Amino acid sequence: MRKRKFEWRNPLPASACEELGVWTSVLLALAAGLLLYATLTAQAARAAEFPSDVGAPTLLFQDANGSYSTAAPLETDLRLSVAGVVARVRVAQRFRNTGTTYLEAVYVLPLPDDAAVDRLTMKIGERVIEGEIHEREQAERIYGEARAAGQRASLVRQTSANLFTTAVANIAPGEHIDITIEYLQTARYDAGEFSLRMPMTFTPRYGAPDTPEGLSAVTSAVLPDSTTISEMAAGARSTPRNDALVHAVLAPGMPLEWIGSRTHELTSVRQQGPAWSAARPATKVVNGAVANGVFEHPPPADLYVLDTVAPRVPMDRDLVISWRPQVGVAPAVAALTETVGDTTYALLMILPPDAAHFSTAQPREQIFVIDSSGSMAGESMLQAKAALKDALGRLRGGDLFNIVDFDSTTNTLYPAPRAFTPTTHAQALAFVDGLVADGGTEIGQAIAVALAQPATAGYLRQAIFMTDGAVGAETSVFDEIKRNLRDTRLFTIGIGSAPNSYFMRKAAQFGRGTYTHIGDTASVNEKMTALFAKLERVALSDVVVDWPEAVELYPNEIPDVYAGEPLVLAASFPAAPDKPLIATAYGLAAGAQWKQTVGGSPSELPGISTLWARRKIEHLIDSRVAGVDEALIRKLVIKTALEYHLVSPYTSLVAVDKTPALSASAALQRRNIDNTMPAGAQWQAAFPKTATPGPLLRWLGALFLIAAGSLFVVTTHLPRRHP
Amino acid sequence: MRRAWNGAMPVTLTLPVGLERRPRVRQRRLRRLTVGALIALAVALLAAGFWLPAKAELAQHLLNRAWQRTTVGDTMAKPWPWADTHPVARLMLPDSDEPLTVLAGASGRNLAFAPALLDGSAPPGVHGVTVIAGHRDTHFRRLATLAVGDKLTLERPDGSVLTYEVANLDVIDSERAELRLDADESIVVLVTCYPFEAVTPGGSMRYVVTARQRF
Repeated sequence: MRKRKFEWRNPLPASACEELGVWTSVLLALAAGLLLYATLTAQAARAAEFPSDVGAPTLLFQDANGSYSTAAPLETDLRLSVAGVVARVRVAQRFRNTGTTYLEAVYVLPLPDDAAVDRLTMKIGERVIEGEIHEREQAERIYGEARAAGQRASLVRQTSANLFTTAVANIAPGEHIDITIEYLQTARYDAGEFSLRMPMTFTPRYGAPDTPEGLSAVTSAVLPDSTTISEMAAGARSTPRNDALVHAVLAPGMPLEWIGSRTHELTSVRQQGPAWSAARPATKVVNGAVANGVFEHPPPADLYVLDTVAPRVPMDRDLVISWRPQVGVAPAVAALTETVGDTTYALLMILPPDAAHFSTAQPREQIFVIDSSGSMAGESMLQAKAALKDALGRLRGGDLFNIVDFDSTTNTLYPAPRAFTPTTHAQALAFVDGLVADGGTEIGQAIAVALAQPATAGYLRQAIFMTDGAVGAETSVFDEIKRNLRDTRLFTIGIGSAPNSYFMRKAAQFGRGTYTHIGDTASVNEKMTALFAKLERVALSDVVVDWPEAVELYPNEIPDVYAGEPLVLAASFPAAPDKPLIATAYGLAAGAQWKQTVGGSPSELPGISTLWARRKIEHLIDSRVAGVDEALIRKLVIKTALEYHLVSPYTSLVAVDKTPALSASAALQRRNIDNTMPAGAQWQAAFPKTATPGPLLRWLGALFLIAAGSLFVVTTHLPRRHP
Repeated sequence: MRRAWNGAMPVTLTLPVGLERRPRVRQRRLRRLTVGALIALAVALLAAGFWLPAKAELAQHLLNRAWQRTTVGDTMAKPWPWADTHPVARLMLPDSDEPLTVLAGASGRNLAFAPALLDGSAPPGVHGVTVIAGHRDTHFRRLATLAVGDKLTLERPDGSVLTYEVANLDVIDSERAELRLDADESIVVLVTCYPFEAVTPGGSMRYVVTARQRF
């Protein structure tokens, strides 16, 4: 210090000293600014580099399993071929390893709840390895051994009815492996429109996962617990933006009025002439402009090619492709057949007579059940509230109603159903407005409360259930419904952009009602109008089908048919090449006898046999709710699944590349690839701001104090001593 | 050294506006004013900077009184007459002697006084995820020292005390992540900003502690 003073003392004149003082404080202020800037940028840089680079283990916090949830975005290529109502879908996913170590990727793949998964191929470079179907334990053993031996391998396992797990082992650094899964599904027909729903992600489930483990006490040694659904639902995770490419070729077999998608923007190109032929002069339109007259009179053999407008679309919602036949062209009954060996398989569709022909004066007793659990927060809750208010507005004087609200606990509007009056209507609306989405999903209790509501004789008793179906223990809920249903009919309304449609469909099946999906708030009114048309009454009941041969038919018990929805039956019987299939269906419609006869026509796409087998497996698994011995179910499912090459709760597809990729001793890292969060889920915004400006203010204060001090010392102190 | 100073002081130096050469007395007055202003600014900044943690500390004492009323049945007890929030739980972190009172609603205003329960998350002890947010430089500074396996407790208005065990510690980019609110057990998630020692507020990184209920 002294030395410094000494240096400054002599050579500088007083004025220079002052100037020096001023400049010192200016420089100090500058330094303060620079320091602040450096702090800010350092922090920003830290924030930016942290999550994307998993090669920095010091900054990562691993969970108890030693795995961390990083998001390796996944490329998905979705291709569909549709002929009539049969669709074959190819899901190709590219698992890319951008890291420096060998990787095992695990991905939860949501598929349609009626998907018949029958093919797995693994492509490494130019080599294609076909997957084989095995009993689940054996498939996992094969996969586990291949993984340990450093071979590239992949496994497709069914974790619950509509969730599958794909695992890919030994992806080399800088390489990628393409996994292709193929499945068959049937188009759904409702209110004059065909649609195919392809799930892209799923709403995290609540409750114990309904895996086959619960059924067969088989635990998987190969896949870690962290891939179970309940584990993935808890806590916080980073959200990747997985993208998909969609390409669909449709041969609807009938003239269309409209084709497109209401969930994603798709272009549709019509190709005239014989199906499956090369490209022809085509008209290109975007999303449903068919109605504008471009496709006014297409010949029946037309082909439609649909593509995504943007090169890739985010996988944050289910993709739905819809097509509407021109009025009057959809037949009331249709049968598609396929003969494999000495067995013929048939898919029979029966459309009930038009609901407009009859209406009912019978009063209704409606119990609305609304899910207000945490997973419903945001857009889903708005949809559910809008749907419930819409439904309340459709009640008539003389109807009875009640509302059951559930999350972790169950609340009812009234202890017992009350008459619908302006007063109760207002009370109900206030009750709905007060609903807040939080807590868990105790669905079983809510169903018990709804079905236990005292019934009134002479009323059509209906329970209308609005939920996203984020339920794990599905079987126990179905059991609850089946045991307590009595005269009630249960209708499910799926809420949100990715509801658990398996749960919705099965709950409605066991509840002898129907399932309606509301995708967005804008379509609430339209969907509720369609639903209430069904609530009027059963359109077709006591259906019996007369087949030429003895058939194995699924479903075994033919359900009631509601307005606008077809009855779909799958049958198999000994092939008779010289005798075409002719079936006659009888039933009761509005109290009168109803009869239709249909002749079978061969399906353009193979796979009717696979679809039949898929329905058989579903029937077998459903029978556990009826109390059938589980060992027997398992045996029958495995037999059917192996024969028809199908993934089921007891069978998995496995593909192994015999060429080793990695020496057995090297370490293999496992990485879970997260699914994109469903659109509209509120949670993205949920992180609050959790820092005060306190430290910043203190820092700035200290800096200004230093600046003031130095200015004081230099300008006041020094010149006075040396005038 | 000397030469360097001489060289660095050319006569042509132009000073910033307002600092040109003036008569000596006026110059001195200007300097004093500048120094005074700088000190005043520094004091104001420091006062504000120290007031925030002090307020956070003081509020906890006021909230203790509101909590006492909560436990005897006044579940909407307002800590001060104009408050639009109420205590919902008390959180005890390991190695701390004073529990933190948790307010309803993780708004910026509430967080200045206490850790707060995120709207839409489950109440403590109910199946679901209970998300409690707090400031990294005041109430939740202590989260930095939490380790997996540590026990923390939540006291509910009915007086029951629930124990949770830390299962995960994560650093998450809040711009690319979400909190999942559904679970088949009672889970507590504590959220605060990260890194703990950062100076400026408003960063996107969050430190997330996940704890599961233990019986």
